[in-house]
Amino acid sequence: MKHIFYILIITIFSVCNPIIGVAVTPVIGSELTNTVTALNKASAQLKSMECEFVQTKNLKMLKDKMVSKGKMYYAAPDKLRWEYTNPYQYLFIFNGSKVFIKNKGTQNVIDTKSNKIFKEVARIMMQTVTGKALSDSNDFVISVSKDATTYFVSMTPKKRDLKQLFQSVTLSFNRNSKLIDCIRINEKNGDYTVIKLTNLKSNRSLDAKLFSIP
Amino acid sequence: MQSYSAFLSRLSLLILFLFSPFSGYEIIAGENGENGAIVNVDETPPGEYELPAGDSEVRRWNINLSTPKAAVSGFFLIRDENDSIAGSIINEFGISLADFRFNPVSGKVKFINLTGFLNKWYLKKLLAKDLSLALKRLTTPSLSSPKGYDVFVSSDTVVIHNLKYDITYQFSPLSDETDK
Repeated sequence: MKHIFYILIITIFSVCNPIIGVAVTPVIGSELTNTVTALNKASAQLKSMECEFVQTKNLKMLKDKMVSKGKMYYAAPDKLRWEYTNPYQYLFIFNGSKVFIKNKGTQNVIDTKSNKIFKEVARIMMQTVTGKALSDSNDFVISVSKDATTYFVSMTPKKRDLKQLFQSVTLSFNRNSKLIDCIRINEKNGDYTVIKLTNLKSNRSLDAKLFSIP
Repeated sequence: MQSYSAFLSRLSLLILFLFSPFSGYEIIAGENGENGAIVNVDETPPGEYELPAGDSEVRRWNINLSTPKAAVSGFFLIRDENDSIAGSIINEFGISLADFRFNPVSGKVKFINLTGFLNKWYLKKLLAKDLSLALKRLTTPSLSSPKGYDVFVSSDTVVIHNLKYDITYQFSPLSDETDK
């Protein structure tokens, strides 16, 4: 039964996941334990992160892609700045219990204390982009596979609310740095979004103004 | 038929939860509107809308949808096909709200995929009707406003206001803002 399960995992990754190489093997047993431990250790040591990203939304209905670019900043434990710069300007800042959204001429401040769902989703978003979601078994069913350079962590949501948003998320971790460099979000309608992180710098001092909320 | 208030609450809740960016929010601070309502001001200079480079088929708009309790934004994307228009609505984070197909002859919108909370018959009916009007105006701006709606069309912006449910849809072309 276990062999069938892992063969199925291999098949799914090989056929459906365009961001992985050909030779992808499941990570199981003691190797799985050691891998998860190593990835969790790396994410726990992550105090700050900054990078650029390229987000490619693949639209099945339109047979088209929509590419957007931006920058991300993270400061442990609860600060995230996600900013789109091309082809649109959109800013999302999560700082403690507040969320700030700026979109062209309008801006909003949201207090997550009064919106538990939003707080939860913002938390998961931050954990996903930093790779910390790997240690969160409450929200996801997690499986791991690898190729020569990358660990692929597939996360399937458990909660109904998250299931409404996406079918699964795959995080790609560089095997050397143990840091995340790609995120793929699979949706129920056949769309998928790939977010590639580049120019990644970790554990550097970041200006607090990056996360300030008006 | 659901009562107006229950319907509006559900629609607002849906929008709040799913469309900005992953979840919803209530407006507690904002600009440019009465009673906290957010009105998106399109500052793109009037002029001919140009499709994004490298894409000669898919047309893209910014979409802002607002109710008395919530305001959300995203992108409205359509492609002309042989006898219909295919479309998708997504938010800035790429999360899909709806896929649909529009028949220009019948004027009807058919949803192919609809995010869970929207998948109620009365919401689908409302959105299909509003989107049908939007698609007609985006492709033929000179048409008059039907009963129950206010429609405003500028050189590149289309605003549709559903008077009964006080829902406003604003469409403006998606342009590359990198150099602005």
